Amino acid sequence: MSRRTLLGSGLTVATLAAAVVAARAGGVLDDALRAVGVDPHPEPDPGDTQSLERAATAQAVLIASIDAAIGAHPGLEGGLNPLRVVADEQLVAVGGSLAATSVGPAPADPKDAAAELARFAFDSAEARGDAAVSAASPDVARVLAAMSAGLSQLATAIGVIRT
Amino acid sequence: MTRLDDLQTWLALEHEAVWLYGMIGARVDGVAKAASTSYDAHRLVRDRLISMVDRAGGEPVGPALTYGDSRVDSPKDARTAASSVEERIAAACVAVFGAADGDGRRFAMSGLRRAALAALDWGAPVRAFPGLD
Repeated sequence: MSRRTLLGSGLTVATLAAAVVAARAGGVLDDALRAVGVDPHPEPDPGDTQSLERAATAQAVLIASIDAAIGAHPGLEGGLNPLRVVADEQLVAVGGSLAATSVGPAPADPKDAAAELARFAFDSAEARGDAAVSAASPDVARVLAAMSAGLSQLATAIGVIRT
Repeated sequence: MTRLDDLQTWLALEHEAVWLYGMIGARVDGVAKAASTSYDAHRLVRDRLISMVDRAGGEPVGPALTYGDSRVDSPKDARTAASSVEERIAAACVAVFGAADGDGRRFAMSGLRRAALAALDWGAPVRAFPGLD
């Protein structure tokens, strides 16, 4: 696959971000980059890798918090489930996992639980947007910018769930 | 695509959005107020893009004479057309990220966020990567 093709395909770009993070952990970065069609040189910017790792960590916390809110307030399940699917798509794209993530209990009032989730998604959107502006790689910048916009949508959609 | 091409693509869509929201405001009572808000927002971005293209040494693209002949008569038509143009603007903003400097990226990020939220307001679903997927 040519670089032009890669740039033209959003899903492939998102996959690239996951590959960069996963491969760094496994020490097989060059192979992963070759697998998605990118010349492995130059090395990914350490700042970009850190931004993607931070995105993965925050995303895991968001999803674990959604799960805690649903567990404590079954009335939120119908509203939150479709949003969890979207949040999980973002998690996978940046190479994250829920394995090592634990969060505290959800607030006792479902309205507070939803408000807390919306606030966290809003803050994540801001953080991903800042990282997108300063990213070294255009591909990483695009992934983080689009993820930021998606998190803004999630925050808004969580904010209007009826509790 | 150069940085200038990316800006021109975005500008062309802002012209379309200004045209669309003007038409919705005039023809579809139920959503006229929302259309008016969107119209004002897109005029501001359009004017900012015109000056950015100008400063980058380009000749800013102008509006098309018409944007298709599908009728927009009902709130449902309006929501479909509006969420479509907002999602296309989101994609144009993501494209701008490639070659833009810090200020250009900040402007693209604000445009992308605005488009994503406007698309949602006009009935588009929540997406993981607006403008990318």
